[in-house]
Amino acid sequence: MDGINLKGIFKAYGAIRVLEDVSVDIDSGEVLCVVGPSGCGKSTFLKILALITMPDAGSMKIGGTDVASMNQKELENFRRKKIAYSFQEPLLLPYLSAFENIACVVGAPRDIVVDVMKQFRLGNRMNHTPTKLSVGEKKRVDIARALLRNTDFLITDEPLSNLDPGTSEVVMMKLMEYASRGKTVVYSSVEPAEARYADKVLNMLTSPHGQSP
Amino acid sequence: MVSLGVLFVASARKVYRERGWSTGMIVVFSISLVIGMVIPSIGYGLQLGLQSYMNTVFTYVVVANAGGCNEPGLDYCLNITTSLINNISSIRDIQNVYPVAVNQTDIIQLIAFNGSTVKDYHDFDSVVMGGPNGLPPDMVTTLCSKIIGNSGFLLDSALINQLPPSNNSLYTVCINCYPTGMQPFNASLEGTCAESSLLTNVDLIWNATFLQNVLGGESYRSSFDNSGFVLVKVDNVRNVEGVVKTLAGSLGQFGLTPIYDQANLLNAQSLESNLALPYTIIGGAAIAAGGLLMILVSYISTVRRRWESGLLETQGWSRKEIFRFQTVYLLLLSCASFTISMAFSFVVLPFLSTNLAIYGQIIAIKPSTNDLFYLIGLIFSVAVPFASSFLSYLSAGKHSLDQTLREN
Repeated sequence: MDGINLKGIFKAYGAIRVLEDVSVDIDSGEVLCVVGPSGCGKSTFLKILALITMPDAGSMKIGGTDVASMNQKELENFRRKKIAYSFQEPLLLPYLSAFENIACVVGAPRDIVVDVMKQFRLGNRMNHTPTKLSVGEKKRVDIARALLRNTDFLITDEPLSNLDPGTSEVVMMKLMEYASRGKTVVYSSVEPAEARYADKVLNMLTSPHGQSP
Repeated sequence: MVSLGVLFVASARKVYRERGWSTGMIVVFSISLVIGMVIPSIGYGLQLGLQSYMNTVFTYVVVANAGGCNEPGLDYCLNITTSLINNISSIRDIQNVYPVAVNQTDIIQLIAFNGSTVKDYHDFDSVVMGGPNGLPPDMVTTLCSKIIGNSGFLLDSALINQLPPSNNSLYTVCINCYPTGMQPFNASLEGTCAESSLLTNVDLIWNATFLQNVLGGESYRSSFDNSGFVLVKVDNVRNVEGVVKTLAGSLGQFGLTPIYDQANLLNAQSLESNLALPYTIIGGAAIAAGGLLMILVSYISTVRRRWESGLLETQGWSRKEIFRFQTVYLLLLSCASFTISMAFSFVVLPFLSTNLAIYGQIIAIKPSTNDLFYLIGLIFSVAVPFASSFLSYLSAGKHSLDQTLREN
């Protein structure tokens, strides 16, 4: 399975240049960590990978498909089938419980959802609505939801923020286990130390952006 | 593919867990539907009441002797033969012919005179309502705004002063005191009838059943077996003028003349046609306003948290699935609203009944629970969720996913 190949990605919001000439190659089954301080463009980069926004310039191949040449409908279909995404600020439907936010939204079987939630230490929070969950708990629900979509590419924005070390370890293990099934995982972090789980690191501290092993 | 079950569960949760918003939506939906159902029903009821009145009253024409029925020439009225009635029945556009028997009712007043008590007889030309040779009950009920009970009679309102003094409106009366000498009996005045061309030859109306009980079958039949005048029922109010012309042409040679209230007929037709358009416009505007209000509120509800659509899109939902989800959610609300508004309309409409005073009569206007308006309400309840969700679907296409998610 082909991974992700980006070359010369450029993105600006008005006069603000967020990404300039970013290139990265990730093979399937690999884990990429995008590291950098707040505001350096990590989230924008991840949104481009998740096809939530498109770059102003550069070439993008995901799973061997040139997504830059796709029309809107093709992009939507590709994203729907191939890419799972979890947000930096966890986004849950406020009227569904933690369990329903995963089961209803993803359509996964009940026992699998329960199993994953227990692994993510959410076993006693299943029937709680988002207003009764801590930020960290919401974050885990968001990541669990993305994991259960079982897509070829999983993009998760700062998955370890607001998590205690023990839970961070559990989450990272799940992401690595996911990648071990031949899937491509991309995550971001402000902490360089959190890049230790990744096969590759895209360091956005050094500009122009480049990748290091 | 998101299953219908999942869409239903998620929608039901949204309705239940966002109770404040859901209640507000249901209230606005219900008000919109009530506006769309009740206001047209009022206009429809008014038109129906007027049409019913016109069809009940103005479609009747009296055929009577041109000379009237002046006493003592009551027999002079009795020249309408069976063959003549058959001739009238054969005229085009005539639905029915009612020969009406006329007889004399005497109300007896006891007067002290020179140390003794004498009887004073007050004569009234009387007819019966119902039975053979009687007035049609629906016509009497409409003209007199009252159903005659089993103990009395109705009187022409213009003759009320000719009644002798009475306690509790109870009178001693007799039918055909002369020459048959029938026994007097007691009866009460139950009400009065406004003056009408249809009651030209009538002073007093009896309930046929009551008189049969009091007089006995044989006496009753002998008293009311004549044809004092004929009441002609025309099939449609628009054909009355034509029938009257035909009747006048063909019956003049027999000394008979058709009697009808031309001025009021024309006034009523004019009123009906003048009311039809404004009430249709008001009804249509009410339905349109109700529908637009529903669409507006539904649309606001779908775009107030646009990021929800964005979130679902990032989680693999297609825009069609999001459209279905919004539709199911709105359908739940609109179906609940439809049920509430229908029940509310059933309860409220009877309280909106009113009386319209017209041509000396009182027409009861009852806003009708017309099935058409409920059908329109039901169609709105189903169509509006689809329309609003579709608008939201179209509007979502104008925003990028990134923009949509930033509305969080």
